[in-house]
Amino acid sequence: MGQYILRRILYWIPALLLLALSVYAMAFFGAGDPIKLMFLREEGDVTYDAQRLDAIRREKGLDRPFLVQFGEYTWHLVQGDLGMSVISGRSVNDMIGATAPVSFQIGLATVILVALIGIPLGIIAGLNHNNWVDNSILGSALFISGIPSYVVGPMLMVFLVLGLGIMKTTPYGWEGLFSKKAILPMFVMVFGSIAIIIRQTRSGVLEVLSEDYVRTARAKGVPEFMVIVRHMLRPVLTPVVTVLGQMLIGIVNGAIIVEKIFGIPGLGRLTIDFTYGVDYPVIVAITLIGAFLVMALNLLVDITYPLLDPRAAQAMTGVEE
Amino acid sequence: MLSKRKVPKLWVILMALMALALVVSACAAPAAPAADSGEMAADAGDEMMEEQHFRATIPFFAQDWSPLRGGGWNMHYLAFWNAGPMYIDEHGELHAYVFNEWTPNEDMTQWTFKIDPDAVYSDGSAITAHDVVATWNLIAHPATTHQRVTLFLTGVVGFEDVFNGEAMTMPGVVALDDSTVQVTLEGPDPLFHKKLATNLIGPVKASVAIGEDGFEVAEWWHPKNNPVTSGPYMPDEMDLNKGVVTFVKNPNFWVAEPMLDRFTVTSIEDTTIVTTMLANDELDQGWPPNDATSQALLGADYFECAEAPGIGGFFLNPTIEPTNDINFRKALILAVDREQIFNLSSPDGSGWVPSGEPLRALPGADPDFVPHPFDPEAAQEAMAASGYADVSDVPKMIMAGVSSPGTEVLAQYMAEQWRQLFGIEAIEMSPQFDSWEGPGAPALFRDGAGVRVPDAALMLLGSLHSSSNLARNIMGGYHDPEVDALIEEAVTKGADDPERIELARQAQRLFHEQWMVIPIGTGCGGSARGGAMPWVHGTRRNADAQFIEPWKIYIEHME
Repeated sequence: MGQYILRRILYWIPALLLLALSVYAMAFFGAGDPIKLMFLREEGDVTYDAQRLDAIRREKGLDRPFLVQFGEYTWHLVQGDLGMSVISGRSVNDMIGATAPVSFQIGLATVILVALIGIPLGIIAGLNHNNWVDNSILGSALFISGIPSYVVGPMLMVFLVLGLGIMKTTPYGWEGLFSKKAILPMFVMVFGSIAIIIRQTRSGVLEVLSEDYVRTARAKGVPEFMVIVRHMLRPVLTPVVTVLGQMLIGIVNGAIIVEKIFGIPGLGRLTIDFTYGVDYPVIVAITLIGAFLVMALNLLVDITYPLLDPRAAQAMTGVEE
Repeated sequence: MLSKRKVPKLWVILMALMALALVVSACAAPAAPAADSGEMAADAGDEMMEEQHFRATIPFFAQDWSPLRGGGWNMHYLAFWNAGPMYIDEHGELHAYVFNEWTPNEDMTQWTFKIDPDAVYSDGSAITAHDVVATWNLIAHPATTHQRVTLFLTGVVGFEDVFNGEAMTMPGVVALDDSTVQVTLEGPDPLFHKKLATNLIGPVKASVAIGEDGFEVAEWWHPKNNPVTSGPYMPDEMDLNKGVVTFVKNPNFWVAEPMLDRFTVTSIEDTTIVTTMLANDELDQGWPPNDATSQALLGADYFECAEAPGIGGFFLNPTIEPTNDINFRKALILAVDREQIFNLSSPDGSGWVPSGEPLRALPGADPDFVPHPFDPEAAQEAMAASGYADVSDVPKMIMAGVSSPGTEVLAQYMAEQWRQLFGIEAIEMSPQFDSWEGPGAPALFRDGAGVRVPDAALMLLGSLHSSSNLARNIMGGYHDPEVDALIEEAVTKGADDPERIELARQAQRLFHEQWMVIPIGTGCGGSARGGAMPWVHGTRRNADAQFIEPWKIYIEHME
């Protein structure tokens, strides 16, 4: 198992370098000119002058050939330095260091809440297949998930703060996961994603309900709760864990709208603001962090599989039990 | 191999690791929440007093708070922490600030400025002429990326070389002694001193902001680097990742004691949130949209508008097809009803129907100016007279700068008029564009030019003259030698010389006859109180949208 994990981690290094090269090249050759955009995005009587822009590029070293710039970037990267933002002049390490933990905790908290709420609801829906309980759970979840976060976020804020007066202050900004301000964004995040887990769990339950071992357990008089926990849950959870892993990656990397609406200083907000400006040191850094997360979570999911399905452990280690 | 015995243990470890990761990441110390503007704060003697806390917002995620950039939304508040050489009030009057004397030579090619002997930085040290010279050299240099330096320093001897990165210093700006700056110009400029009346070129302390290499020190303005500033407030806390920046009173501000204790700017990109927070007394000032929801929540009075000079609209590019054909431009403009444009822009009817007069609301506005009419028949005649009588010859037009829902409504309205009248359908609307030149260049670009000095000649120099950004880029390289000559002559005339205004009016008339702009907007330069709520007193802004005398702003909640 240890060797397996080590081998997987070693594969990451060339993959991340290749990714850095691709993203850097795409940003460099295709996405636009950060210096030009810096001026174009400013309205009114700005000093937009081609010669001046060339001089700025020269001063910032952006007029050098691609390979020289990328080589320098990679050299710094292997030393753990993600470079400086072209637009803000800030250290990308500082920016990522401050925002990634926020996104990570939101993602993890969302996934845990989605699992805690979604899996039981999915099981209940599956066990009550096609009756009013099933329809209510599935219908409500789909309805709530169907409202885009950019609608539900501001709407809830106005409604709860000004309409009902339940919230005395607008939950804008970030004071930590355990603060009151986190409740509304977490609500939007959780209920925006929960339908997937409910559906996945429900279909898993429907699949195992007809399995021989479930029928046998019930025939033996095993209490229903124990049937669910001991016999149904493991096979049902295997695909759900995969989906939860993908969900976590998606939230950490791309909770752009929720972060913008609620003023959460996470990777999503950073991504959108610096992608607009084609600030490629920031874009590459965020992509690398995202890729690293994808790889790490895939590994975590792979490690979790054997806990749920012994056949996966066998396949992973190549040893017959 | 995972044995059955080990599985539960590993399972527990994984769960524990996840929980630990969550708790550790969540336990990062949160910043203290911003206090209310009327919060009661305890002083040393435990006496309660109302803290004067002004809470403002910007609609962008600002990462760069250097006072040397000359642009960005956060520069709306630059007056709070950076003192300009002089300032112009809302009536166009010039006031002393860092400079308290200015004297031109006889032919107006050399100006001498004296620094107020009381003018000091937040650390108590004197603002010197050397700081002024160093600051102006720094902002002229491309490495500093000042976005508007040409508006202020063009014409100074040596400016072009520094501007293009070929030199580090301008021979035309020298410190005669610690408190005297002398500026030598390449030609006469009777209003050069007024151009300097802006916070965008206020001096910074050279020993703090400029490194040994002559370039700006990275993040010198951040509180972690103990910055020194010259305005009534100074940076106290900056969380750039959260977009929250707090300033406190500058104890050494020499003009007067600032009335606010604290001033916080928060980046809030969603306009609904801004409206909600203003209505819920969580913000004292902001830039909410002037729409029905905001009017209902904040009251129509909040949006009471002040007439502002400047020109805004969709500018036509005379250097690319099809807008290089004057009859085609004329047809497009005659087909648009300005009344409808106004109705779409101003749901509550406040403001003025856009006329397209660059000198509007300025001393020198032309009483005989006749806006282009809405005349569909004349529009069709003009189209027939153009090289595009056959609509199939009209190449695709890019309407750029369509970056907000409000602008998109206007652009859609115009495109629909052109479709109905002429059958033009190949129009692409885009917030951005690829290039000012060539096939990707916009045929119509939505932008505008404001007014920094309320003077007709300078307004046109910064908008219609071929050297301006509006002419060079927005209008695709607009260059009329006659217009240029009139403006160039006008700016050499004395401020009170009637010929200065007359020449500007002539230039405006020539430009108007060239059918170059479809005016949009309402003529409102933001809300009259600068977007401040009723309990904020003393907020005044000039034509340049800068807050004037921010040290006089205070909070007083009425019973």
